[in-house]
Amino acid sequence: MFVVDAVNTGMETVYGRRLGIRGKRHSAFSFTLLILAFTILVFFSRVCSAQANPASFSDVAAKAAAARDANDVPSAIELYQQALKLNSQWSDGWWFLGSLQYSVGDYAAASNALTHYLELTPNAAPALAVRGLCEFENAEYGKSLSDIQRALALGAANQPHNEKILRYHEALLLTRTGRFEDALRSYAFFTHENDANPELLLAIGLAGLRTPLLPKELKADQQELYMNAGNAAFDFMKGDKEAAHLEFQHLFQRVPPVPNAHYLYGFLLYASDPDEAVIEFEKEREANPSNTAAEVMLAWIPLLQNDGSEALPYAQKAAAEDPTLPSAQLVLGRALSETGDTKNGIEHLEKTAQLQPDNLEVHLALAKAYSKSGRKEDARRERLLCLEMTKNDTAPATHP
Amino acid sequence: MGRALALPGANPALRNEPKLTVRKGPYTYTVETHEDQSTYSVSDGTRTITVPIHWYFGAGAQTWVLERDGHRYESAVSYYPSIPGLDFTTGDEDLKPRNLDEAIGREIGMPETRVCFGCHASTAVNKGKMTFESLRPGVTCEHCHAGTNTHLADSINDDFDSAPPDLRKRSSEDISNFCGQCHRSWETVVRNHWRGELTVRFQPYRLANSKCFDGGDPRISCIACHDPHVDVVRQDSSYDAKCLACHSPASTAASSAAIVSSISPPHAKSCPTAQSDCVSCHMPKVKLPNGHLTFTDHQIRIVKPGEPFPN
Ligand code: HEC
Ligand code: HEC
Ligand code: HEC
Ligand code: HEC
Ligand code: HEC
Ligand code: HEC
Repeated sequence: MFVVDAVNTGMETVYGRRLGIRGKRHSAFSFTLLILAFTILVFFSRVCSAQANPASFSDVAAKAAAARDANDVPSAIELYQQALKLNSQWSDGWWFLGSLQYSVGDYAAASNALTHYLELTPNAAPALAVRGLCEFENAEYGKSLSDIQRALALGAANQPHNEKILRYHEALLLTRTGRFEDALRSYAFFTHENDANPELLLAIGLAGLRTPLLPKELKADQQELYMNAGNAAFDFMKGDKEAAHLEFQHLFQRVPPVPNAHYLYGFLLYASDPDEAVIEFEKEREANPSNTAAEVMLAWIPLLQNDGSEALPYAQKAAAEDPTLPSAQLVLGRALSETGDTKNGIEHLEKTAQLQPDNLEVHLALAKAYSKSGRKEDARRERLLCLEMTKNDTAPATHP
Repeated sequence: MGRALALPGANPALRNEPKLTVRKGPYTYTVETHEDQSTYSVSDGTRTITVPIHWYFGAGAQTWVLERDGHRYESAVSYYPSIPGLDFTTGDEDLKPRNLDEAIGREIGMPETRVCFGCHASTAVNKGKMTFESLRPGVTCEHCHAGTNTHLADSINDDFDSAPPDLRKRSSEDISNFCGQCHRSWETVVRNHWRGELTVRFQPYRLANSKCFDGGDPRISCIACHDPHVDVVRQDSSYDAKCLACHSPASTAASSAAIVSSISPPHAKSCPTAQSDCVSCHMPKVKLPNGHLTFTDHQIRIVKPGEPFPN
């Protein structure tokens, strides 16, 4: 099981570093378990499939396994490639090849091998997770996000260490692809930890100030600003609202004004204190009249309070400012259907659902709009979808 | 509903129970009532903290919102008529107070206090600001009939066309969301990822999960079964007509079809098992895990013996 360890240590160093987790033994162990369990499974199927194949294939496969056991990664890779030339249907071979290539940082090749593996073994969560991480390194951000999210949905986050790695990458990718609010929600997962490392703060700052970059893509002279914003958001999310308040006040005093700083504070405030949040969004609009995201939030807050007519003008303005912004279409669709124009409302919402099929809010809005207009079957379908989307991370309701 | 929040001097439950006490771990809680003024105390055997009770929540079970040194707390224990007596406040069972000061209850910040009073009292929250001076106990007319202070005069004159913004003309989905501002709408529950037995108290959520629910059909709206102006009707048979409006046997369906078909889809199947007391089988009572509160499951369905709570 040495090779498995080697594979894991590889992940540990590559991803552990990014998370500020330095090669702790117990965390390496959890990844070991994941791949170990997988390896055992694969081993048994290999015994069966190997027997059915010509001797030369089983020879090479056995040599590959021996090289892997001896921790001779370059030879093992070479031998797995040979064996797979003889039998490209050997799914376990693809898995071993891919994870070995991943362990030596050959991400493009690893991603390719794992794609073969996934064709033969669809929905294998660990393979999706590792392929997603490869795509991340290859800067294929859209694909990476979709693999990592599928892996998470299929239960790849079954151990705390894996969960951290995957959720952190998910949040980075959400930021990189412009889904800043979702990214902030993902980062909230990390605020259970008492101390944050600088890279995490920087990452939160990027999401918070709505900057679609990875931490490593940010110019050095900007890091301090983003770190401060990230720190204020981190403190807020961890529950230290007084510290966060002071940090935000400092942020607001900076010259020139920091775009999206008021937006960020408003966004954090709105769940617990929508009225304060409105004030922050209005300040953002004053400082930055073309900030459509803030206009969207000014529509969103009355929508959540069942006040469609209050929301409608903001929603119309937001959608006119930036017709391509999905959240603007969402608030407009919702505001229209709440104020009686369900036909047009549903049209906007359906369009948004095509753009962002995994956005829960779009489906919540569609369920309501269909239901209002008596489209019982459509409403039911949307409701079941929403329930499916929220079946993980459930929480007990609280109320005296 | 008018009794959801009560001010001092209006608490029959406590008047009949002048001294209530319960021990929870190292702490003893006591609620004493003399001449309509109640106090709440917690003691660890050496020290005792006592605060007056200003705000009572709940017409059946009662929780108190307490004030001490400018901070507000949801009382750690509540009164449950089903005991009758004190036990942990639902949802606060897992609080682990580190000292006597924390043992009073769960501290609630201003925003939470605001929503808590927002659902349980009228005019307490005006344009987002708490106004204790103008606080009126319970869910009163203004809550549902916005701006009715001026219209109250109208209503006395039997001219109440400023009633809820045309609520009666609105869809069942809209009405569910209107009541759901306080009873929690379907989307609020889903957005918060709330699951499990505790969701039974969120009727708009449970009802929308039922196959009977059709947001465009007035026969399944909250106000088809409830008149929000009076106490809930606690007689099973009185709901039969509500169910039969859709599930009528074929014979009566034929005669009423002409009237009903103009506003609604065809009639749903009828029951092979019984002809009355429908809700006794299809809307079962569910006790919350603490055993002190019971709700009616609005997820109308065929209940199979021994099946887990569907959610
Ligand atoms: C402003 C908040 C609010 C709104 C809006 C509201 N309710 Fe309530 N309702 C309450 C509270 C609070 C209670 C609990 C009373 C208590 O326990 O003290 C309650 C209790 C009830 C009860 C049980 C009463 C009893 O006698 O036990 C029914 C039935 C009910 N509501 C139906 C409705 C319906 C139907 C609507 C929509 C038309 C509605 N409510 C809207 C706050 C609200
Ligand atoms: C979103 C609206 C809402 C908020 C916020 C809210 N409540 Fe309620 N509460 C209700 C409704 C509706 C009921 C009646 C149905 C039920 O018990 O779920 C109720 C019932 C109760 C009951 C009676 C339990 C029973 O059914 O006998 C108590 C006690 C109570 N609430 C206390 C509180 C306290 C204390 C707070 C603030 C910390 C609070 N509530 C916040 C809506 C709300
Ligand atoms: C929980 C919400 C709620 C509360 C509280 C409430 N109402 Fe209503 N009221 C409604 C709804 C919903 C309707 C329309 C449906 C109906 O008539 O059943 C209505 C209808 C009415 C109507 C009839 C209007 C018409 O068009 O026929 C009158 C009169 C009225 N309410 C008076 C009052 C008064 C007075 C109070 C205070 C004592 C009050 N309501 C409290 C929800 C409420
Ligand atoms: C098909 C009829 C029906 C509809 C529709 C309906 N209810 Fe009920 N409701 C009942 C019955 C039956 C009870 C239990 C009465 C009793 O205690 O015997 C009840 C009880 C309640 C209670 C008291 C607490 C409890 O759960 O026992 C509340 C609050 C309530 N309903 C709110 C609502 C709201 C809000 C809606 C709309 C989302 C709604 N109901 C729709 C039939 C209905
Ligand atoms: C608005 C009309 C309507 C009302 C009111 C209504 N139902 Fe239904 N109900 C339906 C429809 C339609 C279905 C069939 C749904 C389907 O099969 O997709 C249904 C299905 C059912 C089922 C079968 C559910 C299952 O799980 O298969 C039961 C049981 C039921 N209703 C009982 C009741 C009872 C009891 C009441 C009154 C408390 C009631 N319904 C009120 C329309 C209604
Ligand atoms: C004593 C319990 C009981 C009572 C009371 C009762 N039902 Fe049922 N109901 C059942 C059971 C059990 C079934 C499932 C029967 C089966 O699947 O064989 C059922 C089935 C149904 C169905 C589904 C029928 C189908 O073909 O899918 C509907 C609708 C229904 N009931 C409505 C009602 C209505 C309306 C009432 C009141 C008039 C009522 N029930 C009273 C126990 C009851």
